Amino acid sequence: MHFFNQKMASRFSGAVQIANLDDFITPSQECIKPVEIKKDKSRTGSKIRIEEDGSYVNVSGGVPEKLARVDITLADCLACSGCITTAETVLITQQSHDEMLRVFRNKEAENKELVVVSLSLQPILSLAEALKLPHEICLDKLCGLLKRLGADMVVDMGIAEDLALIEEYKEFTERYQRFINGDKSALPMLASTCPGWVCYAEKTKGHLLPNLSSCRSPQQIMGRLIKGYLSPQMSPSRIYHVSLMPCYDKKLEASRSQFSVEDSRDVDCVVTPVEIMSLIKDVCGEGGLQTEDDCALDWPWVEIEKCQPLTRHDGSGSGGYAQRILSLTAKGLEIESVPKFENVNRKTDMQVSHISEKGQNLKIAVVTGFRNIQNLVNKMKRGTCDYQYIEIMACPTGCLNGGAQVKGQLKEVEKAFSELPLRDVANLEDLYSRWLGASDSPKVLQELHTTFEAVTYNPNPLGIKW
Amino acid sequence: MIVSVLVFVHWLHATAKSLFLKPNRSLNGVVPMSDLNVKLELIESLKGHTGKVWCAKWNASGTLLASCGEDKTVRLWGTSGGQWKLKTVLQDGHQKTVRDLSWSPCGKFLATASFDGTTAIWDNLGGQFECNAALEGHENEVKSVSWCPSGNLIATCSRDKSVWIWQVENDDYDCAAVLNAHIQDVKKVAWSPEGDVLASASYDETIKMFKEDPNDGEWSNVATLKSHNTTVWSISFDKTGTRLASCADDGTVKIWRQYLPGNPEGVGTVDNDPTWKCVCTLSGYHDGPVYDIAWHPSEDLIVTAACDNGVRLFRMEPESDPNEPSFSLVAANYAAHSQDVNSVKWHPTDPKLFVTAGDDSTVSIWQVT
Amino acid sequence: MGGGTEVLQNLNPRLFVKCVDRAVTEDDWNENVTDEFDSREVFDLIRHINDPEHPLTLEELNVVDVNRITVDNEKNKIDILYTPTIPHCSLATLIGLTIKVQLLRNIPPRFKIQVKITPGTHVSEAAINKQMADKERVSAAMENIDLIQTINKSLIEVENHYK
Repeated sequence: MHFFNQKMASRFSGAVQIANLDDFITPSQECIKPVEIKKDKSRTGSKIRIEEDGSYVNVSGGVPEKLARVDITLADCLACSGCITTAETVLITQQSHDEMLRVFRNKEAENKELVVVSLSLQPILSLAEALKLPHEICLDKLCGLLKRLGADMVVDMGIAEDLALIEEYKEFTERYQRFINGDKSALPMLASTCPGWVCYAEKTKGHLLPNLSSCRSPQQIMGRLIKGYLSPQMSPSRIYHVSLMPCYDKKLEASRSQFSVEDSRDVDCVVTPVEIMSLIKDVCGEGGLQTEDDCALDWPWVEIEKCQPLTRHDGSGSGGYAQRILSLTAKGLEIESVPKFENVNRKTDMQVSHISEKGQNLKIAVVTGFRNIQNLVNKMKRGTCDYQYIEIMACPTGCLNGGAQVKGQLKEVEKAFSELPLRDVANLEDLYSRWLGASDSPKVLQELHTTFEAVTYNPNPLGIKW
Repeated sequence: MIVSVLVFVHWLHATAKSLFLKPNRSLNGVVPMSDLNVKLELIESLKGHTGKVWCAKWNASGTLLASCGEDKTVRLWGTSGGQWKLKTVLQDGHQKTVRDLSWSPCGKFLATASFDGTTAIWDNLGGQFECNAALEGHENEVKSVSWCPSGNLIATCSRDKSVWIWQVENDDYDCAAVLNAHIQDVKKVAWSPEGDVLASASYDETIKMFKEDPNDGEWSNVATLKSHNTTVWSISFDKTGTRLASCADDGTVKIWRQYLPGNPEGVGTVDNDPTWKCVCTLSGYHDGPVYDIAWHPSEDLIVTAACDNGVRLFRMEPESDPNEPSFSLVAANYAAHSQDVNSVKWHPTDPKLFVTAGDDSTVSIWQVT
Repeated sequence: MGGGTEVLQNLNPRLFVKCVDRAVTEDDWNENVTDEFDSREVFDLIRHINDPEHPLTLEELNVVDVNRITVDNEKNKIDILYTPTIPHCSLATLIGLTIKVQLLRNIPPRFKIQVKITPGTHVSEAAINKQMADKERVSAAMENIDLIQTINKSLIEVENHYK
């Protein structure tokens, strides 16, 4: 027999934790799952002694036999009648920088023809600050490192962020129209780009799912671009796609069944700044990242105007969704001075802007952190929520403060972010027509949107925690 | 009021040997005999609940007594003709056991915490108590609720390991903090008398203190009190908020003292936050878990409610060193209830009264004589 | 049983010989004789509880044994030690809770009931004992409908046996 026995500390956002995802293993009650490796039909039962060091010894045969420990896998976990969800451990072992390196080093054995790494903005700022490097240099060196380790292509996620903003606004105008035409359930629209919030909503607030934006997050749009558009002749399973993201919850998002085609995940592995820091320690030698060669980002999107890396959209550090909805709505209403976002309760983790001109009464909010999410959800339940669009992020103040960003430097990262040059959403009509046919084709729904499903509480009666 | 306290203290000091001390209950074989003759007199035994009664507490003026329990009801008791009588039964607020309750300082609101995962807010603004709000957010059983002395905050805690602070504003309740500091079931929350510190006791064997940062309004864990080796069931501040009594599953009671940065005793502090140090451990008195503890509102008296059906009264030796205080058992009733005693609370204005609640479906009012 | 339980943890549990039913004495019928509780009576309440995994009773699996039950009538204490079939059995907590629920339902309330794991027979012994001794957690568990339905299934055999 083999045994599992492990401990762990949670690194997911508060929203994910409270949604009971990782509630099944507590530090005092470890996962201990037996796996039968041989069956001795002649004996009934077996006698096992626990040694002082915690190892197990089978003493039912003649000679005491020390039992080995093995690692847990997703398959074991799902087959286990005991604790059901050890999703965290499983995700972290299946989507770690070690796993990424393993595939990088065994491309042929793993049957991978093309290895692509997509970079989001917030982790680069976090790494640059942690390594005390100017962010341009940090980006070039990181690119060089990833190429040296085996990446064929390193790309910026900006193009996917732009697509997400375009689709988000399209959905808002469509919902707003429905709302004006009498469908009061069309609003508020709740951003769904944060997987921590989505997980919490699916597990505990199923009634809110129709209000969630159906737009894919930039990570998952990037997934479709890489696996569905970049080289359509290549089977998606031949491409290994890694994304660098500011939080662990993104690993969860990448694992959603909605984001796999032909059993191949659009994003195979999500790594985070915290992991890149330990990767640098492991593979860069004493000189650190500085000693890597400089390398520029790839731009594989033929005939599409290049999107400048290390630029940002106006608004929050989480993508600027609310700001863009606000700006475009104000523009549509021909309002000249766009109202600003104001802090609610002297804290920066909740902000609201109010369009009250021209007979309008529109409120657009940025709600971050579990506490504010909770209050928002309660307001919606009581019918006192008067916002029309809400950018929701599980981490307090948003993605710059993502759960896997390097700790203790939020202020510096926020400052670096605020100093980045602003950019507008690119004109991507060419991309729409090449890839999706048209901006309103059914393929847009298929490639750039997704669905949500309420998770009904259906406990294994033998595994209920009490 | 002042007179009655003085009389009470005088009388405590003057009385002789306790009749209630059973010789076979001992601390390492020795019963710390006090020179007092203090008795616990049962003056009222209130029946009506079915199943366990988990908690009973008076409102701030001491005119109404609320109790709650396994029967999912809250019962309000008041005096008429010198006797405590059932006034109202509050039903349909909870789907499961009502575990704990807390009165607002103004007495117009009552918060009740339930195994159904919600905290209900009852108010008598319409003349009689009705449930007009529910605080939802805990994932499972809410174990304790506590209204802060100023009335603008409510703390709750749950098996989901979290402590929540709710802001009370014009009948609206917003979550002000979700504190994930404990690693297990949180059993009890209690505010310091000043209302600036929140303490929580947990199955994880620690007590934690939380404070609000005046700069950004964020609540954070400022102290972790480690010394118990089992579940800490309950905690109670003294009137100054500088000492805390705690009781645990192994029958021990501990007294903690706050040491401010730069204290003359030389107890180390971190980050300009006070350190809480265990200065006294009472063991050997209780046979099994102690479920509740209450520090007297004005005196150095502590009363405990235990699994062994007993209620015990401890007094700090007046001459003892505050850094190493000694407490002695001055009175006890080893059959205060016929089953576990779950809760004990002092009367807010009458210094001689306290109330207990037990698994025997009974709420008992006791007088210290 | 729910999904994912096809893999039994202990495929070939060792079976033990059951003890004979207690002989009914004349005193049992005599209303004038005060019955002291004894370990045999407690054993009779729990021996026919079904294992949640096997169609076998806790007695047949030697999870409970009359010799590991102590009854102190004077101090109103009943202590039970139970032995999980394998030291990593993830159902040990559930089995313990089932024993506790059965006793809470059938033993006079004056008794303090302690259900613990036989020392050295489970890897999470301390954690399980702690949870089992927590009356608040046990009370809450008894109000958890899904859990209590599972427990009642295990307890139904006891009733059937004495019908």
